[in-house]
Amino acid sequence: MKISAIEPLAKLKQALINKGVTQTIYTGDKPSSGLPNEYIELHQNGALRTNLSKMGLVQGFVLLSINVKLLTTGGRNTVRENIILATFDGLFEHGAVINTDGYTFSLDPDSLVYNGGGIYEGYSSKLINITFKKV
Amino acid sequence: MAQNNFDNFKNDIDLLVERILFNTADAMIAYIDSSDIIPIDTHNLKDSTGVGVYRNGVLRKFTMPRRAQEARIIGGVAMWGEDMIDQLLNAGVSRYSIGDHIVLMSTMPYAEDVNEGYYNAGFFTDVLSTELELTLDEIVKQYGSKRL
Repeated sequence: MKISAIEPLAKLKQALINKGVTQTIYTGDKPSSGLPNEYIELHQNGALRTNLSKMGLVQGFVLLSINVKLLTTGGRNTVRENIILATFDGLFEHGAVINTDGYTFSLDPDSLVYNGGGIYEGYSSKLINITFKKV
Repeated sequence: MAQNNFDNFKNDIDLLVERILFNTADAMIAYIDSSDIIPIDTHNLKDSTGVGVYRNGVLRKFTMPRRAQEARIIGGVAMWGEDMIDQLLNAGVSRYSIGDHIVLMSTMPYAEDVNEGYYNAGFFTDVLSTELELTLDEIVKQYGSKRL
């Protein structure tokens, strides 16, 4: 297996779309303006790692950010935040995993990396770690 | 059986280290948030001072206070640290790829000027970093005196 062939971001994006996530999902192609009121962004978090005791297994982390535009008052739109989060609760509830094309995605036990404003101007953000394995 | 016990022990230690690092990050932000020692103009410098926890290059926690309501304007450019996430993740791969790291950071480019200026010389490299070390020591001691 070539490391260059490992594409967790594209695979997770497609898997989320297939599972019914309707927000725009960016994987390094986010425009600098004209962003929607809600969007999701996927980044690779850390390097890819191989497990030498299980030849061919590559694993790593995807950082998923859920971004929701602030209200005109400057406050957080917690209603929309919770609705979007509920989608992900359904996907990963009770240790559930997403399997697609040899990739396995699951929620990291300490998954919430950041929760608050200030990552992107005018938006509140939740950053969540998702682990992946590829055989 | 021995291997199983050792694996459990290793997992416990791993969890303990993570708790210590996460608690230290939270305590440090509480200190920054409650203290008036950070120079405040538009709140952006204070609010962009964050703490990141990296484990083998993976960003596991990031925390910062955030109260700024207006962008800091320098040379006609609004500074928000828009590419903050990219910088955080790149640092994990390039600088903190092996082992556990707790990192005090400022995402505002003028933090360096503040640090080297006359009125707040050494503010980040001395005052805040010393406070981080003291906080970490204190939390390690707390965990050392109690059973999980």
